[in-house]
Amino acid sequence: MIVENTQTQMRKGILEYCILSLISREEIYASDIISELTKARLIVVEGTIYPLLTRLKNNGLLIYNWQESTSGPPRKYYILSPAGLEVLKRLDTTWSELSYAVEVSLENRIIEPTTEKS
Amino acid sequence: MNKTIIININGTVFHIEEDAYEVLRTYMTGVKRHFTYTTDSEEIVTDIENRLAEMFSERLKLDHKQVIIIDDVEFVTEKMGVVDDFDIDEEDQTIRLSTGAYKTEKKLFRDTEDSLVGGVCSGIGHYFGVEPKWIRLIAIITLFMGIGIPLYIILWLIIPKAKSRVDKMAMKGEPINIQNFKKNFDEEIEGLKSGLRTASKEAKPAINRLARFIGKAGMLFIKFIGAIIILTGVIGLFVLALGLITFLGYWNGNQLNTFPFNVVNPGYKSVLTLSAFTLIFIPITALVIFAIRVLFAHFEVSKTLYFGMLIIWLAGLGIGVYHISKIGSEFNEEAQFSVKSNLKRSKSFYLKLNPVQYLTKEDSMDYNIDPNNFKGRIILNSRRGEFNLPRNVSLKIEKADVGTPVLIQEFSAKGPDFQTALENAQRAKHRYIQTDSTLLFDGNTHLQKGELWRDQNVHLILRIPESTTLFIEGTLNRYLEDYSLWDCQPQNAKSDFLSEWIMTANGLKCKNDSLYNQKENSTERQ
Repeated sequence: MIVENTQTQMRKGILEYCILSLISREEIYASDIISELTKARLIVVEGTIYPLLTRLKNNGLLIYNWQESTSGPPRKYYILSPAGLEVLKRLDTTWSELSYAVEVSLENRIIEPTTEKS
Repeated sequence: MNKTIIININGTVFHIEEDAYEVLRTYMTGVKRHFTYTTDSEEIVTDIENRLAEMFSERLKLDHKQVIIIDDVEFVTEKMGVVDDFDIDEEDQTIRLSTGAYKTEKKLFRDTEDSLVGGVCSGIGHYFGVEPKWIRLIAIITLFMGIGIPLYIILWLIIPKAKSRVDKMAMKGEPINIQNFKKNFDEEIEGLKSGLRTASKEAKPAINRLARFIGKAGMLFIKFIGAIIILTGVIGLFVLALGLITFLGYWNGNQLNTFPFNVVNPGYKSVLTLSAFTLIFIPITALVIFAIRVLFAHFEVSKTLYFGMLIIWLAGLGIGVYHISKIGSEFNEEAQFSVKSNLKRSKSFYLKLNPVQYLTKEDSMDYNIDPNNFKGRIILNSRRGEFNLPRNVSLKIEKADVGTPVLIQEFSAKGPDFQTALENAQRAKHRYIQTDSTLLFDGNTHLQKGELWRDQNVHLILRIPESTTLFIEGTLNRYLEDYSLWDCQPQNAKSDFLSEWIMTANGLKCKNDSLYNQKENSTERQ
């Protein structure tokens, strides 16, 4: 139970950071975010993304544009707002700190890479 | 072939199969409920719907299809994820409690998949969580109490049938969410594959399967009965139609002279036969049609046919009743006349039933009787008289005021008016034969061939002088008025026993009265 809780916490924070990073690269569509995350082996279902994006947008971190789609209804393409960029920068700092902390903590330990999901 | 539904997802129109639609609808209901307590739920749901629409479009385009089937819905919803997996982002974990699997209220539906008649009992069973068989048992008990059938019909009309899968799940009280939905759907598919309607082998206890089996067996039994009804009904109709023609020819040819056929006036024979035929033929036809409808659900019968049949039946009934009442009016008047004959004097008389059967050679052939052997009995010794009429002879023995014994034959008959009634009575014949002291009576009046039965009767009055001895044969007992021969003969006496009577001033008296009374008393004492 504790393990699961920790895992959820870790994934939660990282998922948000990853999504902001992906959006910062270029205008992006929700399902493309999923593909990118899948590529990065951070597997979530699409249903997870929509509430998260909506919340980030309502917090002023994201802006979206409607774009016509050849298949189906118009799509929402997301970009970072200036505030979002600011948040991302701060998260970058946090991440490098955390990354360093983890790196140091894990020194002399061998962790086998795994493709397994959580 | 499947039914499709047209749906509109945020402005995009899709054709979707019914089953697929139900899965999708349930999925979306789950999603909406999941986000009910989230801010901006509407926007999230719209985003998800748009994405689903997009994925459907892509899949349809990819496969060059026009209709969304269940596989598409499963693929798309799998990609979107089940609602429980959405929670990774939720900041407030308590939301989780309010979402997920929610218990639905049980609803009362008729379960037509597990039904004997209309699925009322199994539906009620589901609602109260009782096996349908117990409800059925109660239903059968109420059936005998007289309220069962109307109550059942009312419930049948009121309770809706569980049509959709959602209905069926609500009926069984299963929570309506996507997992259960899929489970339910898969069960159904599995059931169809294995030839069973529902495959809930592991999920439900054996007793439920038993109930199901009883239901199925009952259905099978009903179908079996239906098949028998159809088969015998069709054969019956055929025989009836054939019999009608034969009977009409036979009867109109005056071949049927026995009671009650000889009541009917010749002019009414065909009409009455036809109306009787209609009265039998139509209900059997209706029964056969009904059985066919029960057996083959797709067999449609127009109401016009039923109405037509009803009208013909009523017409047949009306015509039949009319003619029967016409025949009844032939019995309006009664006429009587008497023939008085003096008998030869004798000190004693032997009264016997004429043992000679009045079967002419022609009659014997008509009744197809072997004159020497009728059901093991010799016809010529039969004492039953002609069997084509009801009993119509009665005998009364009185004291004569004069010294001469007298036999009075009172003939009576009925007719539409007095004259006809009198003529009818005059045509009736009754014979007695006196040879010395023996008197032989016919057991019946006799009608001429082709004569109609109009309650022709003969009442015999035998007047005997005082102190004359009478030896009365036991067979006459049934004709004799006022006295019972049983009082004057030993127990277990044969029917040809001659009981000995004497005419006194106070009427007929058993000669050996004391003897038989003693005997009776002694047997009683034993």
